[in-house]
Amino acid sequence: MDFLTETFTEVEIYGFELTIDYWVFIFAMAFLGFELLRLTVKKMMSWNLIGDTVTNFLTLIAFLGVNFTIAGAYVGAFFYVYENWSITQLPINGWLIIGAVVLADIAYYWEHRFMHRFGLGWATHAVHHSSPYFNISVAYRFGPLDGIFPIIFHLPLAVIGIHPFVIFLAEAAVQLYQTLLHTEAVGKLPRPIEYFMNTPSHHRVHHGSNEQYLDKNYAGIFIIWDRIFGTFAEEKEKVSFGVTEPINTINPFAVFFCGFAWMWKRFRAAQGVSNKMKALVLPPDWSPKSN
Amino acid sequence: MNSYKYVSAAVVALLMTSACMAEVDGQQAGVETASLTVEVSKIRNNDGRVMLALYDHKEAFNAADEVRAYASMSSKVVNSHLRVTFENLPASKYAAIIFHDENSNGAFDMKRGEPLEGYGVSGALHALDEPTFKKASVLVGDGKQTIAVKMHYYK
Repeated sequence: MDFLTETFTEVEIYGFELTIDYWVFIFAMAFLGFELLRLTVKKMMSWNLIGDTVTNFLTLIAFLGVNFTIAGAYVGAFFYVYENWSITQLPINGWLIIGAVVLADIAYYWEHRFMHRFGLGWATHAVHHSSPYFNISVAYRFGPLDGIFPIIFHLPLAVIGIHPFVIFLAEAAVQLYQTLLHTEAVGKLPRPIEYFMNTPSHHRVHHGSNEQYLDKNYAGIFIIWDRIFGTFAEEKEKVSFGVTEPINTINPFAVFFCGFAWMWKRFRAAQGVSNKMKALVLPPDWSPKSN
Repeated sequence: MNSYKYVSAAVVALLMTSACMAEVDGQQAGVETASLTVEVSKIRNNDGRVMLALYDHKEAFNAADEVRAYASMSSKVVNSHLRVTFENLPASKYAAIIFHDENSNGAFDMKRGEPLEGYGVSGALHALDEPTFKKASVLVGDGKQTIAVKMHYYK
């Protein structure tokens, strides 16, 4: 196949990224319209849901603002590693893109698991989980530092010689695939798909606050990482969406900083330097009292 | 990319004849002098010519105006690589902009705002990077300096 062996320029790779960004967004907006219509027909529509949906996009704008500010440093870090610390520089072709997507998917699994189990990671990622609803607009609900932690987990891809633009394309592919899973409108898919791939069903579990669903299904594209690393849970009981302590607000500022408000509360409550340090790094289920 | 950069470069390129001097004698009494080597890599083929301009101030660099460059030259390509040393340079900051005139028509060809031929700027991280003069330039004092420039192509 031509795609696999044909070499691409940096500009073409960037073009692919823009193209998938664009078409997924267009599809997602059309799908959101369908979801809202579906909820209206099922008489599940409410002003709170509409407000929550609008807030999701407001957090997206704030998140993009942060990302725009750090973009130079983000891109610079990848190129610095690629030009100075990489063991080789691999030719840019279809094979590299496929390999990069698989590796970026593994990197995403660990990044995502880290975001849930490292205190400051959860402080930013909790925003994404704080909606009590589950529709495609929730995929666009981001916390302030959600764009920063991925750097650490994806830099190894530059070390092994993957061009930064290919890494960014792969990161986008993982993110965009997962975007499409944020829906209640799709039930379970055929068994082989549910076995290998992340699906709306698996990702509903990930967004559940039910005890058995907590810290499960971190996957991006392939659910097999959860099966391998022991974090998989099947969707059985009806999912109750949101975080264990509901935020009960659609105020965009309160939502965007809800994780840091939680972190601040935990940090203040912690007694002594050692407990305060623990408050910053330990998982969200830790509290000083349980020590 | 700033398309005006390439348009103005194309106009100037038309005015250029054959290879200019690769070694520029900038020696003046009392002025500190040194050498700068420009290493151009990733030229995708040996077709046509490569045009190089060395800038010592940001106004000409920003406009990619070879007429106001400190020096400009063109060369054939061998082994997808070009190495040029400028000697006796007055102490200053220097940045390089390079074009690959693959079809030897003396112009930097564009179509709908996109370059059809290769380009490279010193200090650029990637094909879409547009470094400022500050970031693109190196300080040449006494001794030897080298800057490496990678060529980029849209397609």
